[in-house]
Amino acid sequence: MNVIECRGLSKRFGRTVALHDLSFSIKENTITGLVGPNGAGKTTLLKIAAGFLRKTAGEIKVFSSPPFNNLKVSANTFFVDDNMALPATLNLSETLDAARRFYPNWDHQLALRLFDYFSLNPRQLHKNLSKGMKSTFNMIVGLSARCALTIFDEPTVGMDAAVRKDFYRALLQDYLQHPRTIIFSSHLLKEIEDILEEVLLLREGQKRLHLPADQLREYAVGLRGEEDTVKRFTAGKEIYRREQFGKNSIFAAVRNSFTKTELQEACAAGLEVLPVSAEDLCIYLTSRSRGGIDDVFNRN
Amino acid sequence: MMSLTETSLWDAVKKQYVFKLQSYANFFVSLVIVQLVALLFSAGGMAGTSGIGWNNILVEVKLYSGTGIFIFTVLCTLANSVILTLPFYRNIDFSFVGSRLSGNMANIGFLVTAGLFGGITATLGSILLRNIHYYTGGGGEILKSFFMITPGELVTGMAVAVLYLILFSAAGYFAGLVVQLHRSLLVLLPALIVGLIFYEAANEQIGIFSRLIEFFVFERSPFHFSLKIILSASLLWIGAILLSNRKEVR
Repeated sequence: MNVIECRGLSKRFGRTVALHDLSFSIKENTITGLVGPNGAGKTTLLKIAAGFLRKTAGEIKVFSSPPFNNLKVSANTFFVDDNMALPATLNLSETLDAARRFYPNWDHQLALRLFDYFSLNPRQLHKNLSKGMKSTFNMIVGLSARCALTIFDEPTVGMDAAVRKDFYRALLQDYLQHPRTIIFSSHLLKEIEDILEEVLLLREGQKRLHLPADQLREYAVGLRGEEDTVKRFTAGKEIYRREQFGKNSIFAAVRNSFTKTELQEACAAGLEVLPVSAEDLCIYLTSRSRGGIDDVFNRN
Repeated sequence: MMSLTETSLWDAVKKQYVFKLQSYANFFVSLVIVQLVALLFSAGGMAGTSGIGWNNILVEVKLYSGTGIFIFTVLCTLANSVILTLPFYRNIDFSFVGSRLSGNMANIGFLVTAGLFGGITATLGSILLRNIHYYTGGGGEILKSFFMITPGELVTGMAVAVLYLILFSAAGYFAGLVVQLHRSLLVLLPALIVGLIFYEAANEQIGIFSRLIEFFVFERSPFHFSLKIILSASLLWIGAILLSNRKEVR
């Protein structure tokens, strides 16, 4: 069963096109990473899925219903981001108690244990928390709510590296014990790729890729060496990135459609065959130019 | 697999209502503080103080009235109802389970509760004012017209105060949402209302506000009065729900 189904989804804010003709579906009980550069439409997409924003055109269904202003979707979706509005009058433990009453699947033991682990002060007010503490608290609420669809939109804002690592572990542990559909938008693909099962890559409001995470790591391959040799091997291939190294040496990242023998031949011809990490691939696939930032400096 | 939970509208409204009572308890506290301040002003004698001198005898008449407390309560209620429409407060409805309809209904429930609370405390405040004067003597003789009231009158007074507060909070809530339709309305709407009031007062014209006062204040039948208030408030609530039902949040 698909938890989210999108067909030709578009969203405009005035003249700005935030999402354009987006089609994809997200299967039940998967962790999907939503990645893409700033302004790719990640937050807009997630807010439409959570029922906060209205679509402009196309179709989106969450739990088989249109999500906008839908109580069923709201009851089964938890949306975590860094500006969750919470009453300024409640302290953290009162806020947990309040959240608990809304969600039948709420795991209060988990909430309290995480609270303790991250040494949050139950008497503190949410508005007085530091950025990282706020994110930590929101994440605890999001996990404990145990909603069938849990959306984390840039949940690690302000968290230090240690807390981020703990958070990824906590997310994975809880997901394994209580499988549910989780969407995680982040710029730190390298950090989260190990816990992701699927990656949905957006670029300028459109889908660039939607693949299982392990396929993403083998999706492209990098060849480095003498310019003519690289060109010979990459002829007819989809080139994602080309970078100049020295006078006569280049690096090219291309779609990995090589056979084993072809790659052996490339090695024999003196080329270095390099893996392209998921993070790099995503950067290559979403950058406007094939040369990246280098193009700014090489004007010839 | 995570099972899907079913939530009825009524269920969501109840949960949000309880959440609001808990989170906005400070609204009630501010209301009481405002009423105490008004009581303090009223205790000094507010309206219609006059002195008559005659044959070396000076008679000073001071009018004490609970109206001041009520007016302050109305202003506080109006402010609270507008605050509930501000984006931050609306977004709180979407941190947990809720739809636009359930959020509005919970807000209405909250404002009705605040109206009940405000109406009862304001009426009791005017009783307190009477007591202060009775026991301190107010420095003179108390002319006891309207001073003693029967329990029946007290309850009627409370009911009228509560109904007015509900009407004002509905108006404030509706106005708060109208203003958010366009930024310019933030200036235009208050200017229009204040301007109309002054225009009507200065020109002794029969306009919207004099008609409204006639419609509500001069109604003698308690049943018709209640009906008028409840129907008007309901229209404002429906208007507020329609205004916000397609709104994007967060």
